[in-house]
Amino acid sequence: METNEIIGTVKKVIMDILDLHDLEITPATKINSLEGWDSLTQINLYSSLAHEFSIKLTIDEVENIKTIADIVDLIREKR
Amino acid sequence: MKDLLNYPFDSHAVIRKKKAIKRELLGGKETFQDCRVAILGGSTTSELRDILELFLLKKGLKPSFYESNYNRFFEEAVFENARLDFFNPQYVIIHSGIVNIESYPDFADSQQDVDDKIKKTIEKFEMIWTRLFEKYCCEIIQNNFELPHYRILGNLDAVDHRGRVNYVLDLNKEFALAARKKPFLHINDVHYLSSMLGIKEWFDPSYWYLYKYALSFTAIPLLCYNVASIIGAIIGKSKKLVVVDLDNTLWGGVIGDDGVSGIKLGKDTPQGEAYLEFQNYLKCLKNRGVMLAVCSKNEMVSAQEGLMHPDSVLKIDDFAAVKANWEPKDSGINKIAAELNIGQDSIVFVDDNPAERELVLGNMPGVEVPNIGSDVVRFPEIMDRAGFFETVSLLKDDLHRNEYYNQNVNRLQDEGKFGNHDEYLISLQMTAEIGEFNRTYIERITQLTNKTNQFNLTVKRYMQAEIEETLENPEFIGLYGKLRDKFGDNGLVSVMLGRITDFRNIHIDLWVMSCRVLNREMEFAMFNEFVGKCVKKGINVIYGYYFPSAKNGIVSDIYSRIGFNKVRETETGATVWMFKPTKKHKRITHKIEIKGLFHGNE
Repeated sequence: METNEIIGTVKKVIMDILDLHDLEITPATKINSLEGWDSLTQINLYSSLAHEFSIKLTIDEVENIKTIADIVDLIREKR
Repeated sequence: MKDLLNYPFDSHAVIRKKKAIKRELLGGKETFQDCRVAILGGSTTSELRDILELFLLKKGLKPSFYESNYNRFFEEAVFENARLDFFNPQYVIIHSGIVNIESYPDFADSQQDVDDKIKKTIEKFEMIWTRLFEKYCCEIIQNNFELPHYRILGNLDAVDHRGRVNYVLDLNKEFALAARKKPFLHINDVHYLSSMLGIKEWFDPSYWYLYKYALSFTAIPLLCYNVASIIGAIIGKSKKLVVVDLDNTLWGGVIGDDGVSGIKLGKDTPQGEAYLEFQNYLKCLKNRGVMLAVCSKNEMVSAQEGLMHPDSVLKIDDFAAVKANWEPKDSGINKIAAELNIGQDSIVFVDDNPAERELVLGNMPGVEVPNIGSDVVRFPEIMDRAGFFETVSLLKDDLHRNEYYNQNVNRLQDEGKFGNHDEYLISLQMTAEIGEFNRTYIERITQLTNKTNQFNLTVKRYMQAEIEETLENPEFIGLYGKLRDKFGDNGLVSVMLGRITDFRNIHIDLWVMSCRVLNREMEFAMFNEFVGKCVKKGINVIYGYYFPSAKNGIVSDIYSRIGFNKVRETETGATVWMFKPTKKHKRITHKIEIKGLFHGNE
């Protein structure tokens, strides 16, 4: 899976969870800067990503996610 | 989008799209009934709140929520709690699980030690239930326990008194016994739900360690769906009628083409056996009081032939209505609903044909149309897990429901013989038992109050405990009515509750009547008796109230018909009426004889 493709899917998931019609993200985007972000959406995001990409995330991995790039790296590594 | 909530649903899609689903549910035209739900958790509950909200909105309930602080369910229930007092919950969900069990058996424990631990645990929960009920007169929904995540004793864990599996099963048994004794306590059967999903899927340790969720995100929608079903059942939102197709639904093949000998039904073939099992399932539903009807594209004679198949468990008499013709199914279902006098939202439609399901889903928004697929071996489980027929009690009245409706079919046929409705009513030789509320009927009174949508003047819902408070209370006049005629007993079909103020005024807070006795003048008989009681108590003025809802249009003019004067009308169409009772009150109906207490099959 190409990085852009992964970012595209991650973007769709985030838009669903935050109920946004439009969203600009880049690898450098900090996830806690997203509009409407809170601890509950964070859990939803990781749960939905794990399901979408059929991966399991460990506690350490979840705690170290800061940016979209971190998410993309994890997904690439796990798939 | 809200179709995502239809059973069987995709849990991940529900969670991922919850905000959009909520937006859509709230954006529709539907009016919602408000309710107050407190979630007292032994683990994190935020996601539960969000998802439960969706399933309640889908049922037409708009909840406001109270959430306890993390793992403070015991303290917040038992001790002084001004915040919860202020919230004054109607429903309290105790979301606890095995992570909240404080003491498990030790290996050195004797059977007596283990029994003591069970007793202590139950006492703690009893304290929660009793305190909450005393304070709020609320309905309590209590999780029972899922099985432990591991088994130190292996298979012996389920056998030995020190095994945790054995211990948890004993606790669940105690919960069940408590719920039998307390009508306000409802068990959310987490043990069953988690077994259905698999305990491996139910609990995800990383969600526990990271966020303190005691169940996985796959499990949350399942649990919430179940809780919403229980709340729905308490207020009478459960389904009452299953309308089934015939060909490839009740048997394999097409009766019109294959003939009785050609359809697959019975133990001779695997398919035939599966259809038989589905028929058995429906028969069990019927026996517990759910009505059945047929809506099939067939000649009537073919339908009858099929149901006379020697292996058919379901016979034509098992169905309250049979429509076999070539009309569109939505019109068939509409006719069935009209004949049986029940609302669209009380119906489940079962058909193997996706095009028919689509048609009914599109044209009849209230009807539940489960996607049962086309493989009969899955039909019973999909129907069952959807929880359409959830009930909080099983009363004699439920078990007799099919008889009541079958008698109505006979009445309907009989009515055709008479020149006018009055003659017909007289021919029915009706007798009524109308008496003051008493403990024998308290459950049925509550059930009827909360289930009735059409003949319901105020659409107020009452908890059983609230009805109990009116018993032998001089400030209330509560009457129930049972009706019987030459075709049989209709059971307890009407309830009135008046609240006295200033010793001389009475307000009819509640007046309901089952739709199975509409147009029988039972409402007049009830009112006559009510007036009689009022006169005895020296009441000067009776105030009647009508609050319009989506379904109670048929009673909008009842007070004017029985001689009340309109006092007020609001912009929303709510009306207030008054009536001065006198000893010389003219009886409005003479067609129903009022008898003493009935005895026999109630």
